[in-house]
Amino acid sequence: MDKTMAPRRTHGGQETRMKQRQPGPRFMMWIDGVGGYLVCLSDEILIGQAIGDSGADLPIIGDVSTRHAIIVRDGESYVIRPDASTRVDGREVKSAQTLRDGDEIELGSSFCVRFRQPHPLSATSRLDFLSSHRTQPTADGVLLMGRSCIMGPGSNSHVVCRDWEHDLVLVQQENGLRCHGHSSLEIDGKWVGGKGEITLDSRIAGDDFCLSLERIE
Amino acid sequence: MIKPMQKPASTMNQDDNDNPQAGRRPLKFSYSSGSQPLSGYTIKRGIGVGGFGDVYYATSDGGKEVALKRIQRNLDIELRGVRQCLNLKHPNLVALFDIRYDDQEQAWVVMEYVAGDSLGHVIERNPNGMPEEEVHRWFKGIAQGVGYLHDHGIVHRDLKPGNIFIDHDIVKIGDYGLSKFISCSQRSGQTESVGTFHYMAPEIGLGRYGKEIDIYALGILLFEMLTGQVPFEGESSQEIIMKHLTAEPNLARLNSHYRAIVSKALSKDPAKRFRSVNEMVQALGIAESSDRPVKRAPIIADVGGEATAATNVEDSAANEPEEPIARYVHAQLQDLKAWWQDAETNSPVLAITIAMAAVLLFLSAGWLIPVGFMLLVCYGIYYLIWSILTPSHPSSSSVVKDFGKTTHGTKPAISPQRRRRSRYVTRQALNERYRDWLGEKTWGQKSTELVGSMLMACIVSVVMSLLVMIPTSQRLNGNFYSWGPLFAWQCITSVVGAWTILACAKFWESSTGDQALRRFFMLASGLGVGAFAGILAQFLMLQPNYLPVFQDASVGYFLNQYPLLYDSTGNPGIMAYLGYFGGLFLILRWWLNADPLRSSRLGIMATFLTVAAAFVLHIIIPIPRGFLVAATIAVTVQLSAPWVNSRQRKQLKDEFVQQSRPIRNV
Repeated sequence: MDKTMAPRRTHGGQETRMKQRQPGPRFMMWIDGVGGYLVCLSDEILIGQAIGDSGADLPIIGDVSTRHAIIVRDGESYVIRPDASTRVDGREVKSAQTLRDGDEIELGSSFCVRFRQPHPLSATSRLDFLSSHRTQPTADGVLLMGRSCIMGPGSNSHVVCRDWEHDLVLVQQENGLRCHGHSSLEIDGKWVGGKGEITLDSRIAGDDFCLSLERIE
Repeated sequence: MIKPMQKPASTMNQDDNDNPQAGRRPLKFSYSSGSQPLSGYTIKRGIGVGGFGDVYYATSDGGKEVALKRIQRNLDIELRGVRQCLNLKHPNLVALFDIRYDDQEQAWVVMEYVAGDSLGHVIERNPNGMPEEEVHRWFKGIAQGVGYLHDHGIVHRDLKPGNIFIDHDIVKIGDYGLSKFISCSQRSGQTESVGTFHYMAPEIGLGRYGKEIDIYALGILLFEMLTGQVPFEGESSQEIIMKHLTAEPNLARLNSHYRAIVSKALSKDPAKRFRSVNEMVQALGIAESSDRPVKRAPIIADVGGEATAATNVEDSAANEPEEPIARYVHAQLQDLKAWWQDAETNSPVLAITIAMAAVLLFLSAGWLIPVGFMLLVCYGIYYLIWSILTPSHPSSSSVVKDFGKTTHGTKPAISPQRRRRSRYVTRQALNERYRDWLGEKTWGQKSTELVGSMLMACIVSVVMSLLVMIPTSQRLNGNFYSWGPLFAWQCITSVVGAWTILACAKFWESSTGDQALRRFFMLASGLGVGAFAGILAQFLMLQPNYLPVFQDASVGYFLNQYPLLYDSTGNPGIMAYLGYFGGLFLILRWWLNADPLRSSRLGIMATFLTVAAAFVLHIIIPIPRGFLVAATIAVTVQLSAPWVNSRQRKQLKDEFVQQSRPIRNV
């Protein structure tokens, strides 16, 4: 169905350091009344400066290197592999280090995000901006999506939507994305039951929410 | 990023109740991500829905992030406020870039997108108050922005945590210019969440919109930032508004430095607040060293508001009884009425229903009437207990009723027309004014009034006592010696009781006072009256003469139960009199019967309550004819106590309104 969706890659660090790197599949998720999130689907996320064709998954408008660090998802846990000056919770990191929920990641002299893995049953993590830097395109937060991404009123949701009554879950499968809601959903103008397949350009609406995905080429 | 409140983008439609905690409401934005209603801008997502229209996050073709606010009504007068603010420049104000029109001639305000949190979110994260430095940082930014607006003749009118943001460490105030319209838009069927009322200065009810209302809101904000809570909270908007009008904030949680500042900012009288934002900042000790220009433009009090006299409209929807059972019955009756008036119920059906009801009523009258009477009596007893156990809330519903309301009693939304041309005075404020006026009387005047009432009381109670003798006289065989002493006892006891109440009420009329204390005094007086009645009965050698209604098994039972209170013939001893009259004076708020501000001179309900209370007491401590004495006292007090009639009230009200008329300088 969704052709741009790359199959789930296993850990393959060496290849991604090749010169002409292409960012993995990503999309913007615009949630009415909540915010805009940059969602990265691949297991390896390159953080770098937002210039030209750096190939960064997370292009930062800020004083960081073109290829500053890579965050790798390995099963349920995440590892950061620095290429340039990187501190985690104030301590300089020289080699790969495992990230824990709540860690502060500082890249360069001013860029700073907090690493969150709020849901115990999901590998998905979130980066909250602590410094004034933003990504390109601008997002209120970054989601490194594993198999599932939970949006809802609970504080352990990946995106906390306080005014929603129920959770909405996006699920990454072999052949694309699906979406599971509490009650019937309107996907791209069509009413479906509690779940349905979506593309990277879908608009999903429910009783008390509406969100749109926007593919990033 | 202008509108996310604690509950971002909440719209309240007519079906929602106005509980501040009321849950989620669906977000419905007219435009979805990717649409381009305004050429040159692509909407990415909705930010919030306000009373005036939707706010969207959008990017321009060149990549600039903006917030787009769609103004649902674009009458010229409504955009005037925005135009006035369009070129204001201050780091603490959300910048307005432009007003643009789309293909459908709808106006959009293009403004700065603020990415950061709102103050509302920050307060939510600090439920016990924000750290002091943080409070200073926010307050300084807010004060500078508001001060700048005031310097340019703009009153913000809608300062609240949901309108204040922080972006890259700079405090940004949003929603100025439009704020006249947002809190009160009703055309769209949307009103602001109840949160708005938490920051509303009391004089807004009088239609006054000076910069003092912003100072008041700043006081509330300061309190909220320091403690995590607003000073006046309530279950409903009515309650909150009433607290703004009457209650003193509890500042115990603040240290003395802040206490003085918040207390001054929250003065009920606008003239007693800080005269400017700068003065408030100075008092806080967080003023910047650099001086702002001090040339002041006159504050716009009210753009386009012409004062039109509006009368104090009574409102039937708000007349719901407070007591739960009565409220339920009231609701059922309303439903029945609605069904009755429903066009779909045709007339034959109605006719048959009436006929059947009439037949049933006729056939079952034999048991229906006694049962109905019993139910009524039970309800009377219940109501009595309920009203004693429930703390009195003086006319809480009526306050809000006057303050502004929508279609249904409990959901006031302040309509723009009402607010702008209001010459309203709330009933609460009026009552206070009346009380003040009562308090202005000299002791000479008061004693003259009291003596007049007492003389009147003698006449009334003689007439009343005679009146109540008539239906019960068949048991007395017309012989003066048999009914004379009884009449005398009844008459004299009533007079003494009425005099006691009149005298107490005279002392208490100029304030609403402390109920517990008053009840205590009434109890003491009641014991006095009881002692008098007992001695008088012995002196007159009254025979036990119970009314036929009460001459039943229960009386006999109690007579046997308390041998100390009654002698062998069932004649009550002095202790029984003490108990009866002490109880009678304790359980009723007798002074209300003599209050010059009671709603009518002779209240049916007040009299009924008295009779019901006396009935209950009679079951416990039967006193022959005590029940008739109680009724006589109630009627006597009401008829003889002074009463401010509607003409006098209107006159007083006009004077009061005249004094508090808003001063306009535009």
